[in-house]
Amino acid sequence: MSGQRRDPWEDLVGAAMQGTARREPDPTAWGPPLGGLATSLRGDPAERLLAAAAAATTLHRAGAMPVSVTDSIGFAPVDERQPASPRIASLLTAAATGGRDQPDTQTPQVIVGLIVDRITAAGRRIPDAALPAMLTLATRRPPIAGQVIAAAGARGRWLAELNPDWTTLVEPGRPPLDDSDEAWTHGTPAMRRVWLTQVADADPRRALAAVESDWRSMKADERAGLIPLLAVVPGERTADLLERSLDDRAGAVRTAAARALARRLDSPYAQRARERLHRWISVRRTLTGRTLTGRTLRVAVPPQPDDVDRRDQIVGRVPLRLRTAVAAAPLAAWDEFGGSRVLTMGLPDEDKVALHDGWIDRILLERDLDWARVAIGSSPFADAGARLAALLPPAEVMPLALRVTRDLRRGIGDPVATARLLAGLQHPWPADLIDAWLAAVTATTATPAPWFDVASTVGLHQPLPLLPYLRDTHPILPIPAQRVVERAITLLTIRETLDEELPAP
Amino acid sequence: MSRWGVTKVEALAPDAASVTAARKLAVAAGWSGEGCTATAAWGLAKGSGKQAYRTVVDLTGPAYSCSCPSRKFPCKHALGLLLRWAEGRVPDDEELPEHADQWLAARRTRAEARAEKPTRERTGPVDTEAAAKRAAQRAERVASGMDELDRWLTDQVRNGLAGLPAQGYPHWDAIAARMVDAQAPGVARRLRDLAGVPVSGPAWPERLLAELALLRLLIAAHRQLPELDSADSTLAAVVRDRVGYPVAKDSVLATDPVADIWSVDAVRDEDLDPSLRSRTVWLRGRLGRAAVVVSFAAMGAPLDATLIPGRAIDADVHFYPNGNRALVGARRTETAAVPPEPVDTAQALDRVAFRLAADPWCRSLPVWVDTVPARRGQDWVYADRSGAALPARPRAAAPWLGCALSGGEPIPTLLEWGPLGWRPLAYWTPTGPVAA
Repeated sequence: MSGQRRDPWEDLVGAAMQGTARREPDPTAWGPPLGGLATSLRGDPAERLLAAAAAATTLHRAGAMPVSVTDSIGFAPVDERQPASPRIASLLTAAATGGRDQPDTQTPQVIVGLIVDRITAAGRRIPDAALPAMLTLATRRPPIAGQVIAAAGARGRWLAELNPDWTTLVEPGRPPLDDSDEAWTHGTPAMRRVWLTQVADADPRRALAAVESDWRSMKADERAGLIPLLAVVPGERTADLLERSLDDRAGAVRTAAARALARRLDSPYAQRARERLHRWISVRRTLTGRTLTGRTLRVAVPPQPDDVDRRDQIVGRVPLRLRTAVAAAPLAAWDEFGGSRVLTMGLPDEDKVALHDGWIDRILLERDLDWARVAIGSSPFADAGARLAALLPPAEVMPLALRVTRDLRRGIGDPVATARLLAGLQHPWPADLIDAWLAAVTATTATPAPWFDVASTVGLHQPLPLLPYLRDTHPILPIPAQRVVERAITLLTIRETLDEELPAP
Repeated sequence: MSRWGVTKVEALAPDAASVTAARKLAVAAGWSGEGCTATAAWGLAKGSGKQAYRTVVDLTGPAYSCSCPSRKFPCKHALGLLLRWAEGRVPDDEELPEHADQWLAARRTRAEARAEKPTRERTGPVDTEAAAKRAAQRAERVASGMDELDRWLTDQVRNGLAGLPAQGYPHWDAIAARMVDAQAPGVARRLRDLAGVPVSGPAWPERLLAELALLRLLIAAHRQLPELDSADSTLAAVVRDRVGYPVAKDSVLATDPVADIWSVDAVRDEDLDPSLRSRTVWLRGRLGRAAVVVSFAAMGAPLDATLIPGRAIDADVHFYPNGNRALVGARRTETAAVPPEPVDTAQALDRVAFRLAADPWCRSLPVWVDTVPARRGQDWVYADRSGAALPARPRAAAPWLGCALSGGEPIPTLLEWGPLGWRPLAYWTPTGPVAA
């Protein structure tokens, strides 16, 4: 008998691995209770080993003791808000995990967005049972992460901090999103952008001072990300910073700076853009006999960009440089060519598209209602009606939306822009616009993606009595259009349920 | 019959995708010929083909019939119809359409035949001599198979387990097939389950030796069945069950029932092989007894969907001889599930020990325990109020749902014990059970 005790289970496993033909376990070295049992066993070594292992296994399983805890998960903070009902939990979980039966990949986040907004509005919070599915969805769908975290309440935030996969949703330890400088000095790039937006409105000098102090130490991505926010910060110092950024070593920063400067009507950049237009473009009067019968624009873009053009990011082939140069110049630069009447002048065929696109870009940038109205009323801009309509007051948009939506059935217009216009329209829509939308969806199913956004707004905002009409219409639509309309039906139906489960306070 | 709630209908769905599909279908146009009586609902659901699908639900089961080709059960059309019925959108109609009438009549006929069958069998002539001969033949075949397995097991241990990872699955499939031939399907299933152990990562020799040793213990117990039958008939029944002796359903249903309010605690579906699925339902009687109802179905065929988690049935439950598995007999009323009376971790382990004393081959025992998820190093455990904990199964999904529902405070958790650790099957919340 050996002097040292051996662990019976290790001895058994070791012998079994090698085989009892080579090595036998030694139960005399085990100690009670298995040692005594095993030494009394009869049979060949393999049989004795298996019998002892059976006893050891049962002893191990039946004699297991509780284990100790090294880390508790702590306690969720008290949340005064009551969780929404189990039925809401079921709706949320099904929306998050429904997979292939959803009309499209965006539907889960649209449905979840709708429900969590209603939960928040009702003064409730996401039911505990739905929290894991919601937090997982939120990490995959950043656009709804904020809504989900808000509706998840204190328990949701506590839970998110437990799981490394979810911590990005709450960023533990981040400074509060107020306007204290701490958010700027210790925040993530996203938080610094939020801080800059908030502070720039109230105290532009403070905002700019913070940016200037850190500018050299920031990475190029962050500099490029802040520049669009600086575009609307007034003051010469801001303009100087942007102007200097045209010479930045990073291309992304230079491009962002040029776009930002294009928005500032009184900048040196705008002045150079104005001068560039006047060098490149002139008006030619058309005479019939000795009578002035019209005006046409003449365009002379240099074959190569000069140094100033390159610095101002007016680069690329001739059509692109022309479009960029037109988009960079304030609309006021066209005053001496006749102002918004240039939109109706004759244009050289080879420059027509670049000029149109440049003007539309600029009109949208300056949000100039007068120019927009002239463009919308001009047939060459028919395809751009939907983009420009966003500038019009609601009373003017609705008839235009109806017109451009009906045009799609005749193959006129841009389905994507029209869908964007419809997605941004106020609700409720009149019945004829609903019909025009359904007809347009049917006619333009080659590009259904933007129509899902329209379906979302219909489902989210149109009054519930639309539901039976859509249900009746659904079966007679082609399959791709059915998928689009299904999103609206799904959302309207969920709203019906939400009205029962989460009545407005 | 009062209309069910949407939650109850959705609980019948075989998966989450079916719930989504059914909800969509329930709100869509395309339903016609709908109607319902107190015991049935029917309707025609427009599908992708010319012919609408004929959908009927027997609300007393519930049982479903649909002419669609779906292999899910109940299909989305049946669920969609039930959702519409639950929401009051299916009109009352005492006149059943022909297809519904025929199907329901056929069900009634079959039910009547089933009800009469035990009576006929009891009263009819029974060839006891032939039955005894068949049983003796089977016992002989199983005993022979057990002897063969005994030689095989000792050979493995004699030659050493170290070479098994290289042997692959055929090594195990061959002996499992021999056990099928020997009419020991329970043993064959355990052997097939072991095939993956030698390639299952660290500590596989320990896991494998434990199961091989318990198989040898089963062989030894099987050899002593004649003695066990007189000394401990329940243990004898356990041994027969583990080996795989069949027990006729009729004989189970002929036993004295245990009448109680049975709460449905949890349901788990498993694919046993490419052609067979099983559904395990855990029932908890108000008087303290637990029952496991297991049903099987060929892949694509419906599994029993009449026991719904969160509900309780006032019913007669008939137990198999092993005292654990059961069949549900006569049912009376249905209510919400009764809250469990959870124990602490020490009591949970006592229950495991008690069960293993009666059935050392047991691999699953659910216990309601008051616990909260916690950590032990990198591993998850389920801790009670005293800080004592039960280890989670290795590589199991993190119990985030348990964390969310508990908020850090122990809550009643239906934990399933297994040889490798514990895993949650359900949680009990103030609004009822939530499946894990």
